[in-house]
Amino acid sequence: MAISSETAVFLLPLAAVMFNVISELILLKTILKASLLKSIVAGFFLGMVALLVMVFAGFVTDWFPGLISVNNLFSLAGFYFCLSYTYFHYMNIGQASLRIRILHELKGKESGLEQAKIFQLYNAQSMIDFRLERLTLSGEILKKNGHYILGKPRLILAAKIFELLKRVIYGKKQYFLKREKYLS
Amino acid sequence: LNLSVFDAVCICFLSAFVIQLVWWRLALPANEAFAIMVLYAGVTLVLMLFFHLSSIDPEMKRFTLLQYLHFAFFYSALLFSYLISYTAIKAIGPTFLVLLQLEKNKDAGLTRDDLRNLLKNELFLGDRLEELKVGGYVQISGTNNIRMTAKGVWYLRFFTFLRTWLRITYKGG
Repeated sequence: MAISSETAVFLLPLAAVMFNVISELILLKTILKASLLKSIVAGFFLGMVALLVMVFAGFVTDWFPGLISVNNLFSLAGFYFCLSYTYFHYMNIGQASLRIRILHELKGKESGLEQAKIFQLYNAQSMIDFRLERLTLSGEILKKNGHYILGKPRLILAAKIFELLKRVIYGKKQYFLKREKYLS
Repeated sequence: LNLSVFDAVCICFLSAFVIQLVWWRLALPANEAFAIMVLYAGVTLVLMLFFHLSSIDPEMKRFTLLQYLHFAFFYSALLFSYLISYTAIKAIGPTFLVLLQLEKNKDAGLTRDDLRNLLKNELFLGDRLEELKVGGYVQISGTNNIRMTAKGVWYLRFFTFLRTWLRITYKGG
């Protein structure tokens, strides 16, 4: 029962992502109730393990002849990562997106809402409060004598990568203009 | 030249990215996300057509239907990943802003009030409202009355479908 490497390199990441999504949903509903982020991270690693197992099993049994090459391995990992990343954001967008939150507030309001009313329902203060609670719970920041300081270095690393990308995409001049706008 | 699907995805994406860098330095488009979609799809169509026509040469291998399907899935997933990240690149998010400010203050840290003073409603929510307006998800009248459009309703439904199904009621933000 041999499957060509072209077919395997397409189908294995899809199967692994399905495993990722199903295990994430099961974890969310059972062991990791209410912890969306933890269940997503766990689902991602379980899907990755499933992908490795499938590739290894294929290698041992020769189900996918010619699959093991540097190009195919990059393709398998890259395709799986992109699909998982998209899924992660699809789930997380309802958790962290300001746009979705604004649309939530407008939902069902046939005559709309005044901007001031939206700012009353959801504002910078509650935005900060949500984030301080979330970041403290995950250990990203710590509270000492009423002052918040950095905790785990994971998210700050992501923040710096995004700052770098911003600089690359917008160029130095526009980057500093944008930065100035938010930090002044 | 025997291109794999992975090679083709990388070549198309990087070519579009380089063109985007030049374009963005010359002039920023009004709707950046839409411009990215058009640019990346356009560059890919042209390059794929070129690869396909080039492989008329019998020495070159032409993609099979399955490989084209693989390419379409892989490239779409990569483009979605980029578009999602782009929203965080375009406007600085409050989470990253808090973390960057805390890093700047090192061990002294910041109080809740210091952090609250960092964010201004008009800047953070105003920027997002403008993006929703440009994208056609809301309409803003002269009196600052904001209404969700049919496109906005579908956008919200699409991104909260799984959460609704899972009965996650937390509104987020």
